[in-house]
Parts: sequence; structure tokens; C-alpha cells
Amino acid sequence: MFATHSLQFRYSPSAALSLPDVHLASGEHCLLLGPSGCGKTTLLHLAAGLLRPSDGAVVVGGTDLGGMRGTALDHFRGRNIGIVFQRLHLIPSLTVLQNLTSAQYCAGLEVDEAAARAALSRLGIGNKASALPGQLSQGQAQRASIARAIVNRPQLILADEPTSSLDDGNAMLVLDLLVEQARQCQAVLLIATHDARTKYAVDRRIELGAAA
Amino acid sequence: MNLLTLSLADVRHRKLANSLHLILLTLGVAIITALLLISSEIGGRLERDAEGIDMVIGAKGSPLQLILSTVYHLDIPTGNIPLDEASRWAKNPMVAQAIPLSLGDNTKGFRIVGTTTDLVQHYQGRLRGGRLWQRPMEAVIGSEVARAGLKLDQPFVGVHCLSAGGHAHADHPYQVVGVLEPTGTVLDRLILTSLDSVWEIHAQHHHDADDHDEDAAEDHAADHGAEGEPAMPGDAGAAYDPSREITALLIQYRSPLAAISLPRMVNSQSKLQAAVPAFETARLLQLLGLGFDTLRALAGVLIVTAALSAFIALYNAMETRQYDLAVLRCLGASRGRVVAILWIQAIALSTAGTLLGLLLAHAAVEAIGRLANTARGVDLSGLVVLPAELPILLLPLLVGSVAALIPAWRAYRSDIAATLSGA
Repeated sequence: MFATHSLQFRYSPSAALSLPDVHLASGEHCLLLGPSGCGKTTLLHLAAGLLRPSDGAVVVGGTDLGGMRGTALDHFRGRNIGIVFQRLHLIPSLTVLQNLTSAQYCAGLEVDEAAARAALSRLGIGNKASALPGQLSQGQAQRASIARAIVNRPQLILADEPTSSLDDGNAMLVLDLLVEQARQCQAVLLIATHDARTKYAVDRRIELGAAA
Repeated sequence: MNLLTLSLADVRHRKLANSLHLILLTLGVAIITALLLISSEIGGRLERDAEGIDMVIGAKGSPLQLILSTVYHLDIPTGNIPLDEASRWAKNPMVAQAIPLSLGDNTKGFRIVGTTTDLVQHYQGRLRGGRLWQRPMEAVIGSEVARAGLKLDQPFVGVHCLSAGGHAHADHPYQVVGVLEPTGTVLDRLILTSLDSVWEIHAQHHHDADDHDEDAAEDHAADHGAEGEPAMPGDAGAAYDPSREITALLIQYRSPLAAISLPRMVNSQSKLQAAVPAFETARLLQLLGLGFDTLRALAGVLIVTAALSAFIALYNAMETRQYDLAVLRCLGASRGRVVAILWIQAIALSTAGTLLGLLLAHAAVEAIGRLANTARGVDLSGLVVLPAELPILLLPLLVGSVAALIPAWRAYRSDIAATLSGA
């Protein structure tokens, strides 16, 4: 379902990073652990097709990301990969609901407000649909960004340090939500984190070494 | 959810900054449009008033003054000319038509013009009510005079001199016998009567001239078609009586060839002066043109400022929107779509600015036209749309595109991963 083969990424001609191969089956959840600067975010960006590897391949649902370019890659990412950013990146000028429908629109899918509202309800913020992101609490914004990541029912959910700015209670809640939503979508869940608390929620782990 | 929502959400979200650029753009467009309107309406009016008048014969003096006073009825006349000499030129074979004018009095600031009915035909005036004058002291009024309060069958008194506030000829009231339809020419502001009426009043006037010798010197030139003449009431056939004076003759040539010789002949062979409206009007517009050009340059600077501000605004907005656009890319939006979002935002802003500017300009010109005294000469209307305004509509496309160019290029090229992790 999700696999990487002998991935290499060059930040500059002299600084290259080799990443371990990852193989995850449908519905499998995995933590990407390691200290800051070890390449967790780079691996996530490679997995999302936001960066191109200098060597190796990323395969999502049987499709090699390296074989696609431009609009095709953008649309593939929109439809099949949901991303939860460390800094959420909700669009401040759009309401919570519009943030979700813009995900449908950008992916080239039909705009389905009912589905978007349902996703918000599943995450317990159905009543915040017409609020602007600036009016949400940190926890609500976190949920909204998860809702946006799953609204297109992706095959792969990537989360970058989703818990780093949360207290213990909220961190566990967010992890539970991610796991729960990934399960409902039958999606692969890959969480990059250096947060030790996450180890209790997910069994499978990949440890990355210090920066090469 | 569509491109428009994504583009305009940002405009709505940052109202203050966006409305500031809108105002700048609006002002720039409004000034340049208003200038276009005003200069074209003044130019058009001057052209219409002088249409078909190839040459004016009057007393010696400034040719521009002669044209301004007899064709546009703005200035005071250069003086009077003997009717017999004038009619000698009127009978010249190169002259197709000669309309005599005799100026001197006004009522409520509207000039009373002694002339023949040819003047009405010349400006294609049609009667809205009543009839043309047939006897002395009968008057036909233009549409603006009627609007100012004079009515059919109403008697009124002429006031000596060409602007309001002189000596009133109270014992010689005129009678309005006809009202003209609006013609969009100087005719609308005139009170027309027979030459005899003017002569009759001023013959009388002359007898008791001692009463008001303190009349302003400027009136004097225009004063009197009737120096030392006995009044001849009822003498309608006296239009070309050789012993009388008129102010000017409006001449239409029989053939274009006359333009070469006739003015020179008049100027050299008589004490009269010939002035050519087309030439004097061009000279006048050239003088005015300097002012218009300065204003136009100023408006240009304003528009460039507005465009620059729209550009800087969009460019700055990009710094904050980089993340938004990168997020949209992550969500699957293609580069082209992201560029389109920016472009639509820029075009929407500048289109709104342009339309508001056009609206503002028309409203302002209309307001000026209504507030300014119509007797001042040119009545402005904001309800006319000029072909010259069409290029202005292209402005938003240009300004918006240029302003969106660099930010869009940056958005197009931006490295999403670097943008997002650099947050």
C-alpha cells in the first residue's frame, strides 16, 4: 500500500540523506521517530510528493509518485494523501467548512458539503462549521485540520508532529482521533514525531538516526 | 467552493488594506475619466456652436474676442459696425449667407440678440411653443432661458449691458412669443428678437443717455446699434437699413475658395475685421489644452501610484499568502490554479476600482454640470458615455495582470515543502 525503496534526498550537492525503506500495508499505523533534524519531515514530504527524491521511489497505492508530474501529481496528492501539518495551516480567510470544501475542490473532486459537515461532526466540531480558524481554540483548530486531512477519504494520512504543542490530555485525544479516523478510512497512518507520549498509541515504529 | 471564493475570501478577510488600494485606483480612474468627459464636452460644444459659421465680420479688435462675443456669447463685443458697410460684404458673391447680430442687453444674465430668423434656422432650432418674432419687442427664448423662469406670453425687461445688473429699459418691455426646443448649442441660452427691437430701445435710450453715462466702459463698445437714430417702431423691413449699426455678421461661404481671399479682403479693404471661428477656436483650445495636459499628467501619476500600490499590496499579501497557497497546493491545487487565484484577486480589485472610478467621474461631472450656473457657457452632463472611455475599461486587465505577475510567478515557482516547513 505504501512503500519506499532506497530513498535518497540531496539537500545540496554535498549533503545527502539516505532513508530506510518503509513498507506499510493498508490500514497499518506507524510512528516515525527520531531526534530533530534526522529527516522525519523530509521523509513525510517525499511521501507526499512535495519533494522529489534524488534517488529511489515512493509508491502509494500501487502508483509510483516519481512517474507523475505537475497537475497529475497535485491531483493525486489531493485525492489520496491527507496531511496534518505541525502548524495546522488552516486558511485564515476561509471558514472551517470552506477549509474542508476547498480540499475537495483543490483535489478536483466534487464539492460535497454534507460530507464535509459529517467529517466535522465525527471530530466533534460540527457546530464550528461557519467559524473562521482565528475564532477556534487550539484544540478545535487541531481537530479542524485533521478533518480537512480526512475529508477526501485518503489512502495515506501523514501527520507531522501533531502533538508537539499539546498537553498530555489533548495529545492523547489527538492521537486517538488520528488513529480512529485512519481506521475508518482504511488508510495508512504515518506520524512523524519526537514526542515520547505517542508510543502508547501506535505499535509500529521506525527509528531514524541522527542527521547523516 | 470555487476559484472565485478562494480569491475573494482574502479580499474580504483583509478589508482595510484592500479598500485602501481600491480607493487609490478609483480616484486615479475617476480623475482621468472626468478630464476626458469635460474636455470632450467643452470641445464638442465649441465645435457645435461654430458649425457652419465660416467667418465673422465685426469691429476691429481682438479676433478671439470677436469670436467669443458673437459665436459663443461669452465675451463682450469689440464694437459696432455700420450696417451699410456690413451689408456690402453680405452681398459679396462669395458669401452664401450672412446673419446680422446686434448685442447690447440682457435679462437675468441671458443675452438679448437682435438678429434675423436665419439664426434660428442656422442652429436648427425648432419651436416648442408659440411662434417666431414678427414685430419689434417680440422675443423667442432658448430652452435654458425658459428653464430659468421665462414663460410664453410673459413680458420682460431688457437690462442694458451684457451681464445682469445694469440699467433697465423699464419702459420698453419685451413679450415672449415663442420658446425653442433644446439644441445643445449656444442658441439655448439666447433671447432672440428682431434687429428693430434693439434699435428701438437704444434709440430711445440714446435720448436720455445722460441719465446713465456711468455705465461701465465695457458696455460702451457694444452699446448701440442706434447712435443718433430716431426710433422707427414697426419697421420690420429695416434689417438692412444702410444708416444703422450692428455688432457683427456671421458669414457662411459659398465655396471653400472664399476662405483664402475673403477674410484678407475684409481686413485690408475696410475698417472692419474678419475673424475665422475655426482658427480662433483652435487657438483657444490650445490655450486650454495646456491645463488639460497638466491635469492629465497628474491623473496619470495617480493611476501609476494606484497601480503601484495595488502591486505592492498584492506582493505583500503574497508573503502571507505563500502559506495559504502552499497549503492549497498540498490539498491538490495545481500551479496554474494557484496563479489563477492570485490573478482573479488582482483583477477583481482593479476592475472594481475602475468601475467605481468611471461611476464617480460621471457622477461628479453631472454634479458640476448641475451646480454650476448654466449661463456660464458650457453645460456639462455626466450622462454621456464617450468612446474614449473604452480603453479605460482595459486598464484593470493591465494593472491587475502586471500587479499579479511577480507574486504569481513566485507562487508558481515556490517550493511547497520549504515554504511549509519554514513556517
